[in-house]
Amino acid sequence: MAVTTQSRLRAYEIFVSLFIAGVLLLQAATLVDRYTGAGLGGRKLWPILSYLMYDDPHYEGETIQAYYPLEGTLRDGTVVQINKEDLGLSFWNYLHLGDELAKSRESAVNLVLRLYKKSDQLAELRVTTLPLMITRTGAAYKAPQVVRTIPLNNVDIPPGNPESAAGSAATPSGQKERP
Amino acid sequence: MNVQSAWRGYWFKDTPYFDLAFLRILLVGLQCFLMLSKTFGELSYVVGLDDMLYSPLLVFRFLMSPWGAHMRPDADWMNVIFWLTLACGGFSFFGLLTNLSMILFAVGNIFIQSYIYSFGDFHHPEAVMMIALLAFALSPCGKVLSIDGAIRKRRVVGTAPVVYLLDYCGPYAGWPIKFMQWFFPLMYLSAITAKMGHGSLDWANGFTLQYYMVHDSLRKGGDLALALAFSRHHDLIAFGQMVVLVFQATFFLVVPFPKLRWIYLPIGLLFHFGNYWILAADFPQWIGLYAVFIPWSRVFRWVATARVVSDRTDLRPVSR
Repeated sequence: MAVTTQSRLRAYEIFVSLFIAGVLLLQAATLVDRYTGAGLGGRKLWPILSYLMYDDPHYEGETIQAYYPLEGTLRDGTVVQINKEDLGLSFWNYLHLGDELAKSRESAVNLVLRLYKKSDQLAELRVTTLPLMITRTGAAYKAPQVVRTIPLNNVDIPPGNPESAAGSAATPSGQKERP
Repeated sequence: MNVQSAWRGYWFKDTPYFDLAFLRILLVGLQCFLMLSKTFGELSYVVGLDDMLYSPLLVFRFLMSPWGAHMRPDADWMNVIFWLTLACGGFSFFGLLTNLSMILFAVGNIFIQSYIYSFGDFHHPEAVMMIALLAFALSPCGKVLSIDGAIRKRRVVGTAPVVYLLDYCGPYAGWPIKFMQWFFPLMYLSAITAKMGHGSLDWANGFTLQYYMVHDSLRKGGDLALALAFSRHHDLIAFGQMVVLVFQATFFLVVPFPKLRWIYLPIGLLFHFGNYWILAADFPQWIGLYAVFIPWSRVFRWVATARVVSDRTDLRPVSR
């Protein structure tokens, strides 16, 4: 009986030791993930992950890229803002969608077409920047830019300058001052 | 002393069961609260998302493998799993069938959270709690302060030696606490290597955190008044960034030198509460898990035996 208990405790210690060593080593491996390229630090091995939080350095005059506002041009030439509410997405999913669209990922374009109610009228999709940059005294106005223009079909876009439309749509007057 | 005995001596050193059980109650209670206040809302949102967004995490695919790794459970199933997990949390909190309920609670939470993170969105606060719950589930965390403990006590009354609760120690009561104490520095070191990974001290230039303050305010609806106010003070922010770097790079010292916790924990709490108040970046799991650095049995013993000066004259002094 005592031998059985002893061997059970021994087995428990081995199991716990493997758990401790395994988890701590995996977590420690994420420290060098950037250099090894093993991909341990991302969402792949969650709940083991690297803590890349607020880690990129930023510099004076840099555009504040909190998210990519989306806008579209309908076939009749109307410029529309496409907000998260229009797509039924949370802010974070909208944010990731913008990131993917900025890379012209086809799956992201398809998702917009699937979720946006007026997608059958969309002729063009544009990914823009926010009109803000960082300065020593906080945020200041900076002219927005179009990061990516994604034509959706061969329909002719009626007259009008999409680039300037992107700018004007993304810079309501109230945003020109510091937030 | 060889490596094996040193390992055993470190991880399996006698520790009061009270410490482990108190932490069980604290962590399970916090996680149950977070499930109801946060996770349920997130789950309700993701179950309605389009299949095109569904990209299951590895751990979720593993847990789903008996039914098909890429199968997406429907909303009803996820709801049932949520409430069953919460019920297991209740059992774990009160310590009924503690190890079984803790394992189900931990696995249930991993299942739910990994499902929520299978739709592209992904954040950092929850992972450490999942690992902590799993570690506690594998330990004798229901030995005391539990219904299991009360039942055991009634069964063996008169046949087993009686000890004070705070004096009751065992070799397997300490490892989950030490394990989490080691896990924390690894998280902070991960954060610091990410910041320093660009090969310079540029991260602490002041503009970085000013940028993130405006950035997060925009991301969170533009109403982070404190963040916007602080973002206008470059020098103050630059100093704060240096403090963050030093704190994260040296936090590991609290493990070999436990007395340093009385310096690092208050700074850490200030850091995490500051993140919450200024950037609305809430890490309640990290704040709650700081409790693993506190020797609770010693704290309670100190409270129970502390002497105070009374302003009444009719009391006899306590003699012990």
